[in-house]
Amino acid sequence: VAEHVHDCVVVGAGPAGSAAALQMAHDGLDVVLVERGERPGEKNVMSGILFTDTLAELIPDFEDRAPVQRRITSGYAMHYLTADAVVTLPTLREYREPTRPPYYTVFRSEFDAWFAEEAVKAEAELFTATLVEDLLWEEGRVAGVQTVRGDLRARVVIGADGVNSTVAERSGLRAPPTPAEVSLIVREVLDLPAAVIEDRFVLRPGEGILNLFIGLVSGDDGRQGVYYTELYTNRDSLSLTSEVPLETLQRCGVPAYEVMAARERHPYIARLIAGSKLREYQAHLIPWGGVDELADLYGDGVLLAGDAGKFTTEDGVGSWPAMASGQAAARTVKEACERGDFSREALSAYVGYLDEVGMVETQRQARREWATQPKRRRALDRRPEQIAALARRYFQRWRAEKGEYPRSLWGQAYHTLIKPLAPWYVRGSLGLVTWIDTLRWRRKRRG
Amino acid sequence: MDVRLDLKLDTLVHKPDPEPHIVIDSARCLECEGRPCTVVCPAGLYVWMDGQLVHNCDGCLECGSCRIVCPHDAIEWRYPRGGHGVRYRWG
Repeated sequence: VAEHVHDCVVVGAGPAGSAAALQMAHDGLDVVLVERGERPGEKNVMSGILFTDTLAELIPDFEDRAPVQRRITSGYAMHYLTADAVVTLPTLREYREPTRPPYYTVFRSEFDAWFAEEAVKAEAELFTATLVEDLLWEEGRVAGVQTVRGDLRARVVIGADGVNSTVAERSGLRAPPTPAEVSLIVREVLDLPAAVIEDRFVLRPGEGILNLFIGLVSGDDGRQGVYYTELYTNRDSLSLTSEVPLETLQRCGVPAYEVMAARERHPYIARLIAGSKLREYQAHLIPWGGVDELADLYGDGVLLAGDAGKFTTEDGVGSWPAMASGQAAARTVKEACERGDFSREALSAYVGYLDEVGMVETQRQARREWATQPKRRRALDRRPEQIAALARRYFQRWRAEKGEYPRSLWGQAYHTLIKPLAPWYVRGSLGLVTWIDTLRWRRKRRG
Repeated sequence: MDVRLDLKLDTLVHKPDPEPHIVIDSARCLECEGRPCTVVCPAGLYVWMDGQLVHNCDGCLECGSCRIVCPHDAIEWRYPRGGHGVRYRWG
């Protein structure tokens, strides 16, 4: 008897894999979802918030059923951190019904398990505690996966197995990422009573806020690099993350756990998390910078989705691009099944389906942002200090000594913040304004 | 190791894979200058001690940073077998 050949084996029951499996199961395909954890989500770390655009399409009534923590409709706050100061940029708090699907803080251990269960209800088959060790090949094309529990044969394999993707690497579509292409997230879930969270962050029950902090990692010998810290509100806990490109950690020589510990000690963050108790310490890698070529995302009998295909937005949001790419991969497999053609050419239809969900543009933007970052690095590294200096000057300008500043406030802002990063046409036009402003400032100071 | 880090790592639940999922060719580490694995590992599992690299893969958080930064390809890395390794209860 010939071994059973599934329409599709999806590797990894995260947002990308479960979205793909759910979509294909809806379309009546024979799908197997393979997960290495004992429960989906137990190997994952949510380092951000869950955007629900694609989820709302897949499960229209998800808001009534999905296990979420708090809805982030009421706030987004961005801060620059220096060693002893914090500058809070304008905070957005919107008190109205959202026009687009809202976003939430979630625990992946809860959410991924629920999402995979939705795929199972739609009649996808789920194998947990099953590690995919290698691919099966047949006549030069991917024909399934090898696991400890035996081989699974499939017409198409979707690699949704995350940043350290076995499918991507064994299929030859992608080499392992380089230190410049991944960021290390260290995350702490901190217990804090709901009432304290609501008081401290000005929230009502169910409402959440996300705080983004931009600060610097500083090595002993003065080498620096930008990194991000995020603080999210869950129902009765906070998530504090630090996100540093591996390349930056390596360059600065500061251990990853030290970066996190330094954050907890920062005077402002220490006040925000005061009284909390550590529930769990976690770490995870996230890719950033997109892929070089969209052609790296499909091969004979294989597709890549989610982090395995480096689907993130330019600022590193991964869960929603994961679901969108999973959905696009599912549509590609459905079309391939209808045509009975699983070759690389047939699966190149993936690009069209990705474009439909906006992921081609997302990949392109992420790549552009990543590729230009090294050029702007020196300017970005100096930014937290400069913004703090500007804020100090703005708020204490009535105390300035006569002749203390060589430039007007605008001139200082232009030279430190705008000029190093802006394109030539902005520099050109604003430079002229600044020049006139500086002349006026000098005349005023003389007078 | 940092005592506070030890306490943090105590919050985690692991089901160790009896077969180590990370194998190090420590002869190559002797030539290594920067030893970035000791910097990036969020669990501090790579320690340079008495002129050699000491590593224990129980307590691994499975992030994969070490294999990505290793300049000498000295780390043979795979995931623990299905159902083993770290289990994030609040991921």
